Amino acid sequence: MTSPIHDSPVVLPEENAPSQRNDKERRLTISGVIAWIVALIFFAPIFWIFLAALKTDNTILAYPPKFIFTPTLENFAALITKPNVGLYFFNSVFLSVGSVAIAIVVSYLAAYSFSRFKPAGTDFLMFLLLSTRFVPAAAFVIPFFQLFGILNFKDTYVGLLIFYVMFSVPFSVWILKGFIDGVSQRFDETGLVNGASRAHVIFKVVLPQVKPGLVAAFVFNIIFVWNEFLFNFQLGGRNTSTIPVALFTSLYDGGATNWPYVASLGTAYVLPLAILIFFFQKYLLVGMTFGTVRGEV
Amino acid sequence: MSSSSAPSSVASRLEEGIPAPAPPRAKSKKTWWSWGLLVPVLVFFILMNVIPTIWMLGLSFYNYTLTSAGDPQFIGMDNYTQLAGAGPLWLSLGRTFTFMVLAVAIQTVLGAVVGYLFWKSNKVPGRRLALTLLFTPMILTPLSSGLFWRLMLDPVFGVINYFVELVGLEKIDFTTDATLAFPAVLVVDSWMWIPFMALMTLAALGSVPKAELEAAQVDNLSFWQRLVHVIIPAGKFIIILGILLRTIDVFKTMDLVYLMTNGGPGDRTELIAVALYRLAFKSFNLGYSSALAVLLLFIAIALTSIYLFVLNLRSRREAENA
Amino acid sequence: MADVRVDGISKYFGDFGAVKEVSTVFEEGTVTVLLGPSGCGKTTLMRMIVGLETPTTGSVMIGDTDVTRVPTNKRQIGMVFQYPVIYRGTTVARNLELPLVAAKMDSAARKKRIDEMAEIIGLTDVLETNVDRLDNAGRQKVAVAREVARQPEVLLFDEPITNVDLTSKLELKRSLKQLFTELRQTIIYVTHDQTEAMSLADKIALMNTGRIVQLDAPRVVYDRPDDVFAGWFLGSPGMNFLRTGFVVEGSSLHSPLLASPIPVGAEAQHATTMGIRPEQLTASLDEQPDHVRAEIVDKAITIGGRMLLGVKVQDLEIKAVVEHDIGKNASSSIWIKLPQENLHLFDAHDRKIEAGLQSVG
Repeated sequence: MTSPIHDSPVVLPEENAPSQRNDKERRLTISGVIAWIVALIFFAPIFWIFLAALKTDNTILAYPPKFIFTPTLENFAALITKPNVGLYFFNSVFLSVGSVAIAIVVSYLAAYSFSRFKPAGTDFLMFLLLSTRFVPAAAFVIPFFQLFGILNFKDTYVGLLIFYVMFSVPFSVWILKGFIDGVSQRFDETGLVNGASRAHVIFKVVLPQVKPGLVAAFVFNIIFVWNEFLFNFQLGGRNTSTIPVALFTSLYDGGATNWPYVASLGTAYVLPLAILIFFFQKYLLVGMTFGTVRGEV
Repeated sequence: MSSSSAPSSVASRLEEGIPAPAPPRAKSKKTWWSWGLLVPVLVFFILMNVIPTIWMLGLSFYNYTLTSAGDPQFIGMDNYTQLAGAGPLWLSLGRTFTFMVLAVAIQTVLGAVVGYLFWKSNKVPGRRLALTLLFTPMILTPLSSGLFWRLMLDPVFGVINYFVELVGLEKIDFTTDATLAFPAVLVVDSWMWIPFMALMTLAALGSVPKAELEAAQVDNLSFWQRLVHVIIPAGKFIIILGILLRTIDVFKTMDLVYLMTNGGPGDRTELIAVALYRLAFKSFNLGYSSALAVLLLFIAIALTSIYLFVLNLRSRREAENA
Repeated sequence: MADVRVDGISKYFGDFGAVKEVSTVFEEGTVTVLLGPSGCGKTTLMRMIVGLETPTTGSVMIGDTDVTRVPTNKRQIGMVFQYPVIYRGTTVARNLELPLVAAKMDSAARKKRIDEMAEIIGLTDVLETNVDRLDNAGRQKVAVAREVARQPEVLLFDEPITNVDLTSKLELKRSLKQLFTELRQTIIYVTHDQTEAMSLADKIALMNTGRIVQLDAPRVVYDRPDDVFAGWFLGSPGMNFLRTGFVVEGSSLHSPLLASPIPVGAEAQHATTMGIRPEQLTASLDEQPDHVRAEIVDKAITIGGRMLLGVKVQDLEIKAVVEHDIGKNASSSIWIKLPQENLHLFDAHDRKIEAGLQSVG
């Protein structure tokens, strides 16, 4: 180290090449203003529901529609005191978090195998997995309806949990395989050569390096399960209904639509999604393409 | 996708008459791991996909209606022959196709415009919030979108009709109007999915190498020259994938239509997935609707193949250019 | 053709100053190579000249026009990027043609210009080939031809041969050299590779930590470095520097490395660092009257087949590049001489001191 051949008396510049630094300066341009207007237009229908949630029954049904009114939180107060609303929220959270957690563990193992061992039929299985997400949900409702009847799975957490695990697996496998492919095999080999077990390599070497994939899979599968309607509607029941089903059934609740209820429940349904999109925007692309396209926006 | 390792497998060696050497221990351990790790997914897959698919295939050969008494009867291909002759279903398949072409075209073009707009304004203050507002429609379950739009489209107190009257027209009941129901569904579908195509456009534009864009700027290339020689060559695959995903999604479109118009008025907005759902849960003709489900399954598999084909094409092209 | 002047130009990314208050002139018809280690600000300076980066302070002039606020596409500058940029999905000829179309040149003139360019750069055979099929070297040639064909006021090159494979590098460098000689254009060429700089430059502008350290002909930068950095960065290995082990008494310089004191000018009083290039000291296997004996502590072979030695006189260690025979046969010690004309003195700010050393040589 102290060899005179290799020392250097000069302080080198910072290694961070300036061209890689982003000029983060904010600028409001004409296109920027138009972009904001477009965003607001797209959000307007949802904003209208937010407004409705803050209106009284009469104000919602008023014609001409009221744009300026005294906001009230009584719809939300009513929502909380409604008997089943707590259950719907619990079901939505429990089914999504529970099934996605299981799905990610299961998918990670499979993705590791697909990425590293490439067993015969890997391509075909990956293809089949993806295709299950591309089939109209209605096509599978009948067999599930009957199978769940036979297995006594209808309106049970076990049944729906198992269903949503499989619902979340294809996307998870696709995205995690992509991320594991991005981790060099040299890591695995170094670990194994150094005497680590395969399990150690899987969980202690590779797993920490695919965290973004795990986060993306987790967030977006939660969203997908949170949003799932048809199967919960057909296979669930009064015990296991989630928010979308509650929204739907409230529509025909006793003839006329209970708009204050729909609007406040709808708001409570949308807000968590919007917040997730805000914080996990960089995973949106991979999420919306079922893990097949990666990149940032 | 990489090719499988089949040729070196023990089975193929035996077929070729080559005596299989004793597999080294490491190899068999690897095989054990490779399949062991797959077991959980395979269990779920068999339980939740393979069995229902076989069940569905089986059902499609039976005459089985929930509302009529009596056991299901095996009728062979009858459901399929009936399907081939079912005018209304082919109509709704055609309608789905029309809807698909219109929706995908509108959403691709407008999505590209919106995406380009946001790409140009990558330094706008609050860009992340603006994108959140833009992207929220596509993240909603279509059911809730349908619901939200019902509030706006309501013939009595809907805010859209307020604007309709403002421009001097009479109130319209969009969802039950024979000519306007289809466009209304198309508009709401586009509201949901233009943001998606904008997202894909942003990704496509983001995949254009920065130096190429800068070179085009230095060379003072026109907008069209940039589009044709810089942006499209780099971004086309992502756009094509977006178009394919939208195409696949149109075949799946059910809840939105179900909630907005329930396929009506008459069958004006009955897309194929809606028709299937109606068959299964309104007329309870399980055998016949399963036959239709099998047909849709094949369409989905075909579309998936096309999708993966493009995906592979893209990764191969990227590997070549790397 | 025009010269390029930057005046008090800076670029700050947050608190980080990539380029700091640089004022200089890139002369008309001259190849100026911006040389420096990665991160020194040379690329940022170039990007401000072409307009891809907005300066935080200062201005850019091309000829008599202030272009600081002029968008890139109106600046009459051609630029070749590090990453070979081609316009995909079309032929080489069409690549050269696109900017000319954008510049509204008529088709006969375009054709003539393209054929000329192809001839000069050696693309005539591939004019109708799809650019996607070319390798990186070929693509970079297309990019060079395209920018030259536009006949801009100024041509910029941002490390153009970095992304080309080793065998094509030499060839591309040679054709660039030839092209530069023929063009007599105002050219600014960014690189971190000193041999590239030495062979292509009329002038080298050496940059470090956001500033231009020295702007001179290559030989001058090498022989008479303006500061410690210039001495160290040019040459392989760079100059030896001694912070201790020498004293200036009156008008003479004393050091254990010197057989006898050397006369120096009054300025030498302020010297805190003494420098000598490893390849510019003289070495001998046998005792010589004006040489000192040095102990060998390290040995390595250089690319040129000469020997790089680490030698030590008392506790002063320096590098020495010597002829192979001498290096190989030397066992534990060697006789060295530091010729007066090759010695350099620097002050506490690492700037060169004119001490009359070179005038003797």
